[in-house]
Amino acid sequence: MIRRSRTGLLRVEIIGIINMDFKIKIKDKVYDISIEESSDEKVSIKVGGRSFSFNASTSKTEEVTVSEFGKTQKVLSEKELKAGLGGIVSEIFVKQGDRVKSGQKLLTLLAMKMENEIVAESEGVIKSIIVKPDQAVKEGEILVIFE
Amino acid sequence: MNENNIIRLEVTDSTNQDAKTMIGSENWQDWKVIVANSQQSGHGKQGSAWFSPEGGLYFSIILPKAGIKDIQIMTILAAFAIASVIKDSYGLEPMIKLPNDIYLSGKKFCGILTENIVSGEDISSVIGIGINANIREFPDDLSATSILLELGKEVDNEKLMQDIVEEFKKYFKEITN
Repeated sequence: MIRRSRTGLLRVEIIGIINMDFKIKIKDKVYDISIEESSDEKVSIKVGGRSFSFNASTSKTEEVTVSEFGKTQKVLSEKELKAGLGGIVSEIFVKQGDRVKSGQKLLTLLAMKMENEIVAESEGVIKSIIVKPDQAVKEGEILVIFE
Repeated sequence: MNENNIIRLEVTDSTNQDAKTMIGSENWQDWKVIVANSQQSGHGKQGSAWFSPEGGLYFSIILPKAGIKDIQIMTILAAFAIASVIKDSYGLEPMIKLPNDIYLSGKKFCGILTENIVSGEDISSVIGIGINANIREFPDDLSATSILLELGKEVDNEKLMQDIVEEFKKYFKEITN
């Protein structure tokens, strides 16, 4: 099941494995997709006649979210840096009172098995850092406030 | 591949880190590839170590800025490209554990780590790929395998890298054109 949520996320829910054939269109090109359940909870997916195997579980609902990428949201106030999507703050490289240059690394956000280095868009002084390392943040949550 | 677009290193901490450092520098080019014979601080997601001795294939690709909203699709495309090359070139049956690991015979042999540098709306992306190509032995605590162990013979790392980059480029162009 694929649906677009109110937040703009494209949500893909795997609610069970069934054999199916379908077409998917990316840009103007149409791809033939074939999904077949094989042994050992593996699923074979054929794309254009080529086959790939995936692990899968049919015993529970598995949810995979494919989000529009978590770039920092266009901020309402230019002095707030917000998370573009949910994730875990892994490292913070600056502290309150620091003057940062454009391009300077501020923090790292782990999201969807990608590491995202959030850097300063422009020069400024950090008024406060709202988050802490290992903290889970939601989309839109304020990470850093600049003076 | 144009040789000028490849940076070859004997050893480095991390090809992804080298690629990120390069972004924004004078040497920055789309599709620049940094490849090393071994890594001292190779890592996967959340800093987990990636066993990177000589014999393996470790490289990072600096992606063009394509304005793609869903960057994670790049990791998945890379996985498909690698699996496709492994299947076509060596007749092995790779299994992709979405989005970023690939297995042979139930053991991991390839990991992909996409790293992004985000500056407001501007995003630069690097895809790091670690492949256990010609590695004969692994630490006991790793459930890992290599192409060498699965195939019974060594593979040409240079050809493998170039095939993967070309395959990935092909997929990339298909979704961005």
